Amino acid sequence: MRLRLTFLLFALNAALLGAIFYFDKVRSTEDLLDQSSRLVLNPDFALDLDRLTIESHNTPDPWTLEQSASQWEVVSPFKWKANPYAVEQLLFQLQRLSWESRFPVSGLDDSTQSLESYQLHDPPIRLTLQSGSTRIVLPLGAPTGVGNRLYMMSPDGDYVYVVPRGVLDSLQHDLEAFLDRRVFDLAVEEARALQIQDRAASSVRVRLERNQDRWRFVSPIETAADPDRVEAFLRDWQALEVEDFLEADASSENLSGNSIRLTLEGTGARETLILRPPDDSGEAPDHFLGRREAWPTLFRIRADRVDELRSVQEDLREKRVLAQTSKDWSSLEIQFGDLGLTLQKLENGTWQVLYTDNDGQLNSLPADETAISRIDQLLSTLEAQRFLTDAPSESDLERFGLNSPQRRVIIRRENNPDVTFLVGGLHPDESETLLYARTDQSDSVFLIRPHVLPSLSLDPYFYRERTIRALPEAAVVLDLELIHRESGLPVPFPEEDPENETRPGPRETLADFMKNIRVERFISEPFAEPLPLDDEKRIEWPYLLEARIRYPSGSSEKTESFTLYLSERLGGTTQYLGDPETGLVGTLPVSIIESLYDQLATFPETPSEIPSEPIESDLAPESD
Amino acid sequence: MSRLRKLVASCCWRFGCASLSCLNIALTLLALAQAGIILLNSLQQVIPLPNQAIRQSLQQVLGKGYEIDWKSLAFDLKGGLFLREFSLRDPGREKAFMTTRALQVDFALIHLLLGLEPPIESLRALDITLSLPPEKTRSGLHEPVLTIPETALRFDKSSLTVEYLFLDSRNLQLIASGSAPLDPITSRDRPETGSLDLPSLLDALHGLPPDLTLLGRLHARMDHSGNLSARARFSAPRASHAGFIFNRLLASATFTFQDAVPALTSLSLEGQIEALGSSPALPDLQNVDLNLPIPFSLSASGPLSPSPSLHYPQRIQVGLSRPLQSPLPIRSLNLSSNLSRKPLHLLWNAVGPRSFAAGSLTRDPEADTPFPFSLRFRASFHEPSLRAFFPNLPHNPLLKRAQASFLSLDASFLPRSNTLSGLLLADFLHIGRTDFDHLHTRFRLNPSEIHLNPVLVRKSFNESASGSYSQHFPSSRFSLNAFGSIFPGSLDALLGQWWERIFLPVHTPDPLQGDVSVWGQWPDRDSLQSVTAVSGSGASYRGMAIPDLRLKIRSNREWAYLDELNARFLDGRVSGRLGWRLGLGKGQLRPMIVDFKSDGPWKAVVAASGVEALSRLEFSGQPRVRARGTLWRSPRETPSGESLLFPDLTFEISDREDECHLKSLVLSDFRFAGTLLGSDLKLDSLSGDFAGGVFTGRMALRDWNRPAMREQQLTLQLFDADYQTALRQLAGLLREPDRLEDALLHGDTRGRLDAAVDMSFGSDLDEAEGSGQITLRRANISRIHLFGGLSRLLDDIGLGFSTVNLNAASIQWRLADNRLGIKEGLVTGPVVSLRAEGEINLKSRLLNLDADLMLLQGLISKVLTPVSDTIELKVTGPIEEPVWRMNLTPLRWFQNRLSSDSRNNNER
Repeated sequence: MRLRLTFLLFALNAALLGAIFYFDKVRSTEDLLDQSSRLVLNPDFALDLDRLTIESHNTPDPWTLEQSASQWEVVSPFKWKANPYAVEQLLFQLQRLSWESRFPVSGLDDSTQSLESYQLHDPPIRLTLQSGSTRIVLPLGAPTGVGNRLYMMSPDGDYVYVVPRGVLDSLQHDLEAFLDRRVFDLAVEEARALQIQDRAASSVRVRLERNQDRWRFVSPIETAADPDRVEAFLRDWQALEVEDFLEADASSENLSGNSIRLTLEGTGARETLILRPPDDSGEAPDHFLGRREAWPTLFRIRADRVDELRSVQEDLREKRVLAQTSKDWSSLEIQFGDLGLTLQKLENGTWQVLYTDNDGQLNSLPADETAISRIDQLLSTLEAQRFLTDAPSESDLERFGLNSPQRRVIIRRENNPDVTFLVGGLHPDESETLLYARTDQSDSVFLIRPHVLPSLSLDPYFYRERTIRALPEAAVVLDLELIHRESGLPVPFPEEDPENETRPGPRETLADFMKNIRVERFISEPFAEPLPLDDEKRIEWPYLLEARIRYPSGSSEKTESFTLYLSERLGGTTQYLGDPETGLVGTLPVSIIESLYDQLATFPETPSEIPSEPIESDLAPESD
Repeated sequence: MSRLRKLVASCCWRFGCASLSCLNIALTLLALAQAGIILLNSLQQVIPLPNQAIRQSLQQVLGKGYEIDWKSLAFDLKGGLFLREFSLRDPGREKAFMTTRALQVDFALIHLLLGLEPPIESLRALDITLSLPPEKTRSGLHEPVLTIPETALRFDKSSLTVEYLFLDSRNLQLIASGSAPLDPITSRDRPETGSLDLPSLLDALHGLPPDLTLLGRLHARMDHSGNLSARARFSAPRASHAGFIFNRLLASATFTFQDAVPALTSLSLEGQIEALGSSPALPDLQNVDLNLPIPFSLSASGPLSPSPSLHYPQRIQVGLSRPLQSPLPIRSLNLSSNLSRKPLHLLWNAVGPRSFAAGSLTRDPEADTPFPFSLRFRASFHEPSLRAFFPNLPHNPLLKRAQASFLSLDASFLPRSNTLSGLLLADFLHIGRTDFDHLHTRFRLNPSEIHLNPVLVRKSFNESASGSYSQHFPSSRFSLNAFGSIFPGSLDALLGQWWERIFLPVHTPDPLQGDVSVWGQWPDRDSLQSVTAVSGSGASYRGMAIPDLRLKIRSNREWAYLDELNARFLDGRVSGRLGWRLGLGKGQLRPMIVDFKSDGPWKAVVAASGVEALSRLEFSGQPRVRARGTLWRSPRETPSGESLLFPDLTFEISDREDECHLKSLVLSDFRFAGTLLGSDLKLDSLSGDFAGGVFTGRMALRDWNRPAMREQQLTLQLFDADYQTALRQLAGLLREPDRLEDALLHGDTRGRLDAAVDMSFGSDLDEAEGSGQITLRRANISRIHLFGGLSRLLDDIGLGFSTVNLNAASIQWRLADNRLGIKEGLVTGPVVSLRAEGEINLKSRLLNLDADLMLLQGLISKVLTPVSDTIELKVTGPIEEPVWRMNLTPLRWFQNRLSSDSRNNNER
């Protein structure tokens, strides 16, 4: 009996414990906390919202937003992506929405107030929130008289809350702010292919594909694309925003027909924008109608953006036809008929010019680093102005002058096959000067700008190293005199102006020049006095430039003098310098010519003024 | 034994029964207590508990290093504890570092009783405020720094779940959630002081922009190793930082906290830039307007780049939409970088309407400049305008409308030298007045200078030039140089009107080849100097064809000096020097200095001189011309300083081989030399062949350049000219040449003419004055109707000159007041001579002549003298119809004898 009682008591205690721990629904302390909380929405509910409906007096149709798997979408009155920022702001404000004061609805009568007092009988905005199957309606009433507050009905309808009006501000704006204006979602980094199909232009499909970081056209021809331009193009279009959305009624319009389709493809994602002129009048429209595939909503896109799609095949094509060769070329042959020369890199890293002179002898000249650098820059920057044909016939090549080119440039590379570049004839369009050209890397014929020809000069002296003599760094120009040979007198230099820091004086300029005597360009004739240039022209040397140089050499010092010959300034940029010692003759740099000019040039005296008294004339007729 | 066994059994039974009874009693009491508690709980909901018990329980949860206070508490049956005004403070401190308005904790009673972890099941709190002690705040005061309006935590056996945690700090509002295993938390050494180590977190929060209202949500998860991974999403209506104002910001980030190192694994940020505090330092691009607000996006992804304080994604990508307005209407600007690459290397591209640019930006750690980045880029623009890009360029027509249809740049910027250099290419470039098809140049630009070298420009296929341009900004010095084809129009705006005046009349089928250099200080025209040398074939100058032309012209502030003029013709050349004085005002451009010689076509001389008067002198051949001196000078006292035509020239012109036409005169072997001083022109040695004769003389003109006021003095001797030819050509000088011809020429009048003329005249020859003598020899005077109707009269009286052989005449004349006085006119022949005197009124054209007719010559004449002396002729009437009257005066012979004797006596 006792044992049964014991068991009974055990069971009773267990039941009581169970009641206390498991079945007691009275959570007193939790209730105390809940009553102390000022949040309008239960966080468990608010943090899991999946649908919002906004009914406003300002909009005829309610706006409904739903959360899909990856993003929020506007499902009514448009069907389009929701603006993440706007949605995020609204959700956050709802989740953190807390009342600052409240009063019970039941007590309104006692205070001679009613729901009408707070516009809560017919609230301007009614917000319906849904989380799973739970639904809450929040009527937003009038703003408070003072403070930046708003009246709101509590979810259970028992209280009128006074809340911050931030929520109202979010909802009082144009509700189109909840529409994401960006057309594309695919990140550029994820894009693997780009395709444009213009059904109005023979439905030509232009397709580019990315292989690692290199983009290539795969349709309509296979050729290289300019990676920078493709990247910029993708980012530009990825950031494309709609001008405006069309009313829902228009959303049923079909955008087939003369449409242009721009498709971005990523790994497992494909986004297509369909564009079409608003009517078939044939007139150039200001805007195009657009629609994202899989979204019914129509919108407008500026027509100039659409025009860019039509020239993608030209715009995105790699126009730097020799850029790859500029990285590792070691020799360059420039030919025109029987004329030609070769720029060749030597083992010590310097360059030389090889050419055949008039006597048929092979000669070499040291090449100028700057000239080589310019050739390198030419190769790396040479752009096709536009491509003419990708499949020229033999007659085309003949017509383009590419069978007997003005320049044949053979670029030899260290670890890659040679590349031949041909410059053909003149394009017949008289409005601009362009030349036909091609490489042996493809069949394409393109047009280039004419600066290429003078840059690929056949004159070996164009590339020749331009230093007559260079003194050691420590050398000092002791004396410098410019002598007029006919009179034997030195040409006086003006006094140096120590306050003029912006420009050195002519003596200083010449002294610097004497330390590193570089000419603008050498001529092929050796020094002679006078130096005949042709049957009529010859260079006279009316001036001497004499310098005495001191070379520090150990404990002793060594001095040396040398003399250079100067011609008159024969033109704007032409004044010759001759060095009898080396036999070299070249033109002075313009900066030196200008420095000398003030010393050497004379102008006529200004005629004296006319005397104010009339001049007596002896022209009176002679009397007989 | 059995009894003992029974006794033991009985004792056991009794003990068992007693124990059971006790147990039953205890269970009954316990059941009653539980029922009472349930009853009390139902009635009162909370149960007061001893403070000490609560304190011990809380210290078991929180650690023993805190002082705990609360205002009131309550306990419920589930172990729920509710505390109001709960606070924690460090021992010895007066102020709490944490307070909460309400705290509710559900204890795990069994865990609590058994000392198991976790001691609580859940925790919720309202309005938690965390504060920092004075030594950890910037203000030095006890400062509340963090507020948690509401939070809910849940504990189970092994983990903590933050269901939500609303956090406010300044303008940061955060909703956090997440979970973490308890092991890492409970095994961690608890701080002895009980102080929370929040300064670094709070410092970061303090660093947030003051006007930033950052709304965020954070979901974090910690694994058993204590590593944390989190996902955060923030939005902010507005924020400002370093002068930038942002709005509509939305950010998403994922990060981890592994091995005590925080790592940001991904980040995306988007929003709008509302304002920039300071524009990029591009002084010459001041009118590049930002198109605010600028939508932007930022994303960071890829492998993590290690850093002691924070690991971050290596790849960062920033995009700006429509950042700039005209003249750089960039629609999209994108930047990307791999942050693992040191130094910082940024790739960028920009797209606009028909414009594109892309390049890279690399930080130069050794560059001590405001912009320590190396920049490499290429760009292309359509329809760019120089002034739109560089509005602060000096106002100059050369640059004002400079624009191109296409511009391409391939350039790099080096921060150490602060230099931008590269290639520039332009299509359809318009500079000054010249359109170029293409321009291609290398350039180097730094704050103190710009160099373009070489510049290759092409106007058309056969018109191209190369050259250079440099400018030193501090001194404004510039130098423009070109050689190749010369495009005159492109330099007129730079060099001024004189350039146009000199070069624009030059027309060539092919462009002139040459070189030009212009230098000076921009835009001070007075500082400009230039040197131009050109040569070309087939040129024409003012319509004059020049097979081969070479020019070299220099200029400075005062002079445009053509110091080499060499125009070669098929036979001959024009060469010399001409100087134009500049700066004399608008339109005051005339050749002032002349040193000029020519054996080329006279037309070329006329064209080159620009002297209109010379066009009246025509040479069929190519005279030798030499002129030296000055043409135009400034008057001493003229406020305007205008130059006046005041020539001071010496010149020589000779043409030995060909004819020269001066009005109606045809001269050959014509030579003259003279001087021109002011308005006085003196031809000192005038000689030549005229009408088959030879002439010498001199001539002076006053006001030669003002025909209406012109005064001319001519002294001329003519020998052995053909009378008829000479008279016809001279008649051409008159207004009515036919009258003279009618009067003096009839039929085949012949004869040789000698003349000496010393006369002066104005612009009208009819008003001439002077004197001279005309001698006619070997003439057939019968054919010479020297005296018009006289011949007919003599014919009528039977002395017709057609039958009388008259072959010479000599007339001394004097012209004054429109009266031609004939002092002594003698016409002689073998038989008859006629002596006449009198005058001809040229104005009324009336004759008043007396003539004596002498018959026969020689001995017969002397015999007949008395007869002759008695025949006197009187000529009156108009020149065209003279009236001849014959007077027979028999006494006249005696009168003549008497007057002759008396004259001889007087002479003696």
